[in-house]
Amino acid sequence: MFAQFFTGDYLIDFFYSIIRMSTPLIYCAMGALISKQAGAINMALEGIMLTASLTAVIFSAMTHTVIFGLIGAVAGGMFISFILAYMHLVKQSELVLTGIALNTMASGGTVYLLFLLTGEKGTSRLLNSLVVPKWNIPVLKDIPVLGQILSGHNALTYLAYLFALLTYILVFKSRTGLRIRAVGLNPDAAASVGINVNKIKFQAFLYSGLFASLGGAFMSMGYLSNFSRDMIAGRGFIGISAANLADGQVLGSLLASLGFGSAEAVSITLATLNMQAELVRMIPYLATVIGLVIMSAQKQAKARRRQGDF
Amino acid sequence: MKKLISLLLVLALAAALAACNNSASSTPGAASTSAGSSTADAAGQPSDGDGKTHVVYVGGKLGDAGIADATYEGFTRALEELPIYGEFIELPTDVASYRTTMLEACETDASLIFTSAGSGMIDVVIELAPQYPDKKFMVLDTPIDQEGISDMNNFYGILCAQNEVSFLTGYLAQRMSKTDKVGVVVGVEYPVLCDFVTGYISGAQAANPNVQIAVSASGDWVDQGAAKETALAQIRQGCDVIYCVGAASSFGSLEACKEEGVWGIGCDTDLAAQFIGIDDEQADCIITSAYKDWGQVSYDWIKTCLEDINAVPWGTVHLTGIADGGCKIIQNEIYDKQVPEEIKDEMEQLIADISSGKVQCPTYFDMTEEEYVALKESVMVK
Repeated sequence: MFAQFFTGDYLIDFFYSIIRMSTPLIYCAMGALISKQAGAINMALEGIMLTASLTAVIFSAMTHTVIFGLIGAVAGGMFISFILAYMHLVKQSELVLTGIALNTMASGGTVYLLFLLTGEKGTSRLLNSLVVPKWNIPVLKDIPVLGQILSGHNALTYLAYLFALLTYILVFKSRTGLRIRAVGLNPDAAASVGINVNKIKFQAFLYSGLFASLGGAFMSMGYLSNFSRDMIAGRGFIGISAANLADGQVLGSLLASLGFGSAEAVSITLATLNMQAELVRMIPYLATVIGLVIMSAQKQAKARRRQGDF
Repeated sequence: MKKLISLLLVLALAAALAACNNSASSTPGAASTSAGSSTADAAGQPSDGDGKTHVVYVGGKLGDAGIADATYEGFTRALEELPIYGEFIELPTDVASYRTTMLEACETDASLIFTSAGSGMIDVVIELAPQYPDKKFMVLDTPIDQEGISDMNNFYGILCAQNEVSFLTGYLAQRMSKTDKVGVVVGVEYPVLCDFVTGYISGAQAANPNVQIAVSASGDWVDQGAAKETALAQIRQGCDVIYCVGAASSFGSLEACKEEGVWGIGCDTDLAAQFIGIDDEQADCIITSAYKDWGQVSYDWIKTCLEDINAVPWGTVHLTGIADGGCKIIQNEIYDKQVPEEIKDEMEQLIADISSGKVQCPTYFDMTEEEYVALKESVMVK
């Protein structure tokens, strides 16, 4: 019964789909990572991605240019991120609650905006929006198997890895990153050496929104070709878990995102085997919980060892 | 800064109000009615001063390209053509709030309340209906074997024979397939959806007993990404016709069909028509849609209630199928263009045979769960 899954073509398509499914998670994990390093959980990432996926469609339909679609996505996502940062840092609101409220707002607000523009509540099919082209990587595409898996993806998929590198440079190799990490580790100490804590956190939230927005843009301009209601469907939260799982490290978040993407791909493949769909759809979330528990156990063990040293 | 923010808030609220006015779900009569002005007409229904009957439709979110949209279309037509007034109450997405929403509808002075929210709503209505004996309830998509309704004189269920229409799509799918492998992507596998699958498998088997069929659920009704991946997984297994029964998520699976160049079959409404002139490449791959005429069914029910409330067999579930036009397969210009003449003739013959009862379509509601699982396993893609 499993024989069909071990043919070459099937496996190639399977691994290809893992890379595709991981893309939005990578962007989101990078966004979550930055805010985590600044000591704040950006719970609004789901709403940021959703808003970005709608504004991407609207801007690309209005301008007939892919690049403006992406700019629109970033503008939409960063707007939500700005509200979160403003409410939390300036108006002192509870961070997690504000994030959840913004997610709810984005869920209803995007449908509302869609309805105002098209008179429809389901999808944006009436807007003539564009998709980001697929890239065939020269040289790589001619390598058998590897080329078939790694080449021919959406341009945003390749950019995701570039952005992961950018995140690494930003957080671990730049002056801003040093401050972000300082603020995250100990805000009081950071303030004592003259760092404006709120300003740095504000910046971190905006970067976080920027990265996640591109994940949203991928959903409506690559993964699918239009916007539909609640289309992020929990991917934002999975991205947050990926960053938490890796404790804010870039490579770890990247691998965790790929891991969750694989779990999703496995669950979809298993669903074609007449497995109980509800059970199978649990896999990515179950993987999240197990991953978080393992990580927390490791941390505790490490802390205990350290105590032993003294 | 503060002034600017408050100004923005006021603007947003004003925009929201303006949009509410556009929604066109309620007629002018609705606003002017109060409970005190209700009188009873000959049929014993409370109605307002103009002799109009108050009807409330409680449905899922519009824009699902499925049952909610189709029923809403019938309801708006009834509002225009029949002596009724009323409103549409849009359900939130979480099932937990169904009960409070239905209670809200019950607390209005409506005499007719109907809902298209099917599985999530049946238990709520069965619980609430006895508490509101002067109101009549109708639930679309009630399972045919629903228990606990036979002694209720204000509950009526309507079920579309999805097994019959799916039998047709299954037959067509197998005839159009070159690989003898076809797939069906449903949103969630609950009884009514199992009936879809049963009909589809039986129909495909009628065309070729050796057909292999992939059956999978994408998990919900909105996640187009998951539906697309599920369809792609089936296409990877060799399926070259995909039956997409996923309400709004169907758009995802149909997009997979477009990208991979296989045939797609829509469901609930004429999905090809949604793309003609907008995305012709997408429209061209949707050979047909299993069409359930919820709009007409709801319209007819309201009309019957207005003419003679006792003509409705309360306490039963009515099954409407191919024979009486409750459902059909869409035969539009895409169907004409893409389906070969020979297969079209076979389809006509099959439609006639199902209508006359010569071909009996197996239904999930006659099966045990084990039989259903066995049926799915017997056709699994190898």
